Amino acid sequence: MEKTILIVDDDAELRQLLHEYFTERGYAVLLADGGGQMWEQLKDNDVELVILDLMLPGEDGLSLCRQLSTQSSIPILMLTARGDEMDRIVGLEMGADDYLHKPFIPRELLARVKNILRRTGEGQSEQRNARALHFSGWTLDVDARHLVDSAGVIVSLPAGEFRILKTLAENPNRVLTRDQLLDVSSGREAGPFDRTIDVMISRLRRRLRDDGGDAALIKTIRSEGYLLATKVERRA
Amino acid sequence: MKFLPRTLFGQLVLSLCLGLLAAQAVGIWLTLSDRARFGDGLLGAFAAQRIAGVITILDEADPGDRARLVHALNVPPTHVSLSNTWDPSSDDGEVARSFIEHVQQQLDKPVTLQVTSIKRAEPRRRDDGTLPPPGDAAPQGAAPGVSPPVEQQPASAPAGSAAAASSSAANSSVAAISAASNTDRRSNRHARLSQPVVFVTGQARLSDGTIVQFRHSLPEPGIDGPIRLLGLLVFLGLSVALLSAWAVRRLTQPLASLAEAATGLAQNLDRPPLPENGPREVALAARAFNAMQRDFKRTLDTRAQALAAVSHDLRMPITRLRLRLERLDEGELRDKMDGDLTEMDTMIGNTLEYLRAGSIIEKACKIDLEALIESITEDITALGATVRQHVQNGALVTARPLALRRCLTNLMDNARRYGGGTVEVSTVEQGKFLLIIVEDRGPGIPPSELERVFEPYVRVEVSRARHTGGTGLGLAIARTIARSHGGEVTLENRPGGGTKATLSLPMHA
Repeated sequence: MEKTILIVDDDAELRQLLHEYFTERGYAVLLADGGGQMWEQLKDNDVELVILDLMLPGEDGLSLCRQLSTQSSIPILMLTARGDEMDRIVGLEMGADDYLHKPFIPRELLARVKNILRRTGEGQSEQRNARALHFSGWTLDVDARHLVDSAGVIVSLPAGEFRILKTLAENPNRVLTRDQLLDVSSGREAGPFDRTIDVMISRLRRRLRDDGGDAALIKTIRSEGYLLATKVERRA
Repeated sequence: MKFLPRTLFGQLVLSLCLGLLAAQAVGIWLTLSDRARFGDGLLGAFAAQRIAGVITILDEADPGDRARLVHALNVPPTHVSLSNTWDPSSDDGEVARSFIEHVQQQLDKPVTLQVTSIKRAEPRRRDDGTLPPPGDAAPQGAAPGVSPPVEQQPASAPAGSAAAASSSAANSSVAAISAASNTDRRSNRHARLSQPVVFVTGQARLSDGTIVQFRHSLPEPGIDGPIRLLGLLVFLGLSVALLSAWAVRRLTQPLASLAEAATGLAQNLDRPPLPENGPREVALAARAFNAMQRDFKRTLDTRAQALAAVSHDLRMPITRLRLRLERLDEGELRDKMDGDLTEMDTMIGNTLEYLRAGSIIEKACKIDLEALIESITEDITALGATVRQHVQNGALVTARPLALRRCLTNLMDNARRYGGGTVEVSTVEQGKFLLIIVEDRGPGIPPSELERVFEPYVRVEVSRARHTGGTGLGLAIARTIARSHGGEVTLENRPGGGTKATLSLPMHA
């Protein structure tokens, strides 16, 4: 079925180009040049994803994003010309599901759109506002993509390990197989002798000062996979 | 000259105190000599007048009445006696001669006059200057048991002669006598309680040949003056020295902070403005400095804004171009155009990052350095490099997380690009700093270029850098970030080839 995307950007030519690009790839595309048109389009149509430019004249893209995310559960992909890490975090805090800076590579935009639509299709959209996961004195900051210990020390994680820990923390006390974890960490299938996940888990344990014994945070379930054996608290 | 203080404060205080000391010395000397001259003039003039009076009376008197007159005139402080013998001893000193001259001026007609001695003695009783009984030739004999008189050398006493030379003709001789006694007195302080006296002994031949011998004693003026005077001057000197030290400190303090501000300006253009107080000239300098800082900042901000605006606005056409490219058929041309667009994008991104590098919007946190380096290592390894690390376990730094990550990523990525594939990262504590050392075994950097590569848009060997997509901003960004944390980035060539980049960060920022 055709998915409907609403593109909010003040540059008419870019709107047109994006319209063509997504239409050619099988999406129904609606356009808006700012907040006013955006609210009208949302009223009249069923929209599955909003691509929102952060740098809108008049009403700020960030405040539009906040309003939209509090009033509806439509996923938002933020576009900005700033390309600033701080903006990314602020945008995500304002309720955006993902972030891409201009000038983006069209194929990457397409991939992100597909990804968000797939996630919302799987019913994970209600989780998108969990910005931090707390467990056993640790905080996993989802926006900044790092761990913070009980003393406030920032512990960076490589992208793959971050995704594994995030998945484990989003599904506490549930066994996740190596295949599932490999899929989230690198998007590929595990071969029969693939040890990548085991290496990443052992690094994560070291970061979490976890000795892997009986009191282990990340427990190894023989021939199945791993689980995070602790209570996880979500915070928006 | 090395004993001279180097600071403006020290030099000013020293010269003020030296000037004050000199002025006080002159002041003390002038006061004392003036005072001596005043006292001496009074006493000396009295002595000369009296002697002249005695001589005139005796000269004009009937020889038969002289004995009676001598008895009547023999009143302290003048002892008069008649004699038939002319004492051969004589004092030919300058003081004696001028005393005679002075007496002569008071006489109606010239009389042969001679001073036999000017001597100093310590009388038994301080209120009586004419203790020695009549006929006692040696005055000092009148005061047995008292310290012996000091040899009188009036002509050679500098204060005395100076006073004599500078005083008026009428007072010169007598002033000299008393000044001489002053000099003497000063050298004999222990005798203060029994007031010293100067005896002027002389003889005159009256017109009929009778010889009159006289001895006049000059009591000295009060002696406690100099001590009190000195105390006052010491007090004055101390208070002026303290006051001038305070005033000079007030003057030099703003200068010191001005110098400090000028030094710090290069590091931090956002430093708070100087207080515009102190003396007017200093306040003006501070105001001018603050204005200069504002102008600098405005100029730099304007240029940064212009650069940011251009970079920023370029992103829109690049985005559109990329979407337009999608409409072209796949092929070499499209790939090359795509590569060009990516390069433009990188340059813009780096420029914006450089302009932002020193900004402090982000909050500083404690960061686990080992985890950070491992996380960057992961990214660098994914781009095809071998990373060896020797990082202290549990090393913590306080820094802005994203900025520090950018800084370290730039250094490690540089080592990957130009370092031949192997990157070594290690940490060392050095004093108050934590050093993060990134080394490679690449061709290194020509020594003349080691500093220049930190300038924005400067690259070593342009052709190679272009191949690897560098924009010449990586090191400039890294250094700006390090400096905004109170640290530094330096580069050096390793013995045996390769480059060593050192990022130093204060451990307790």
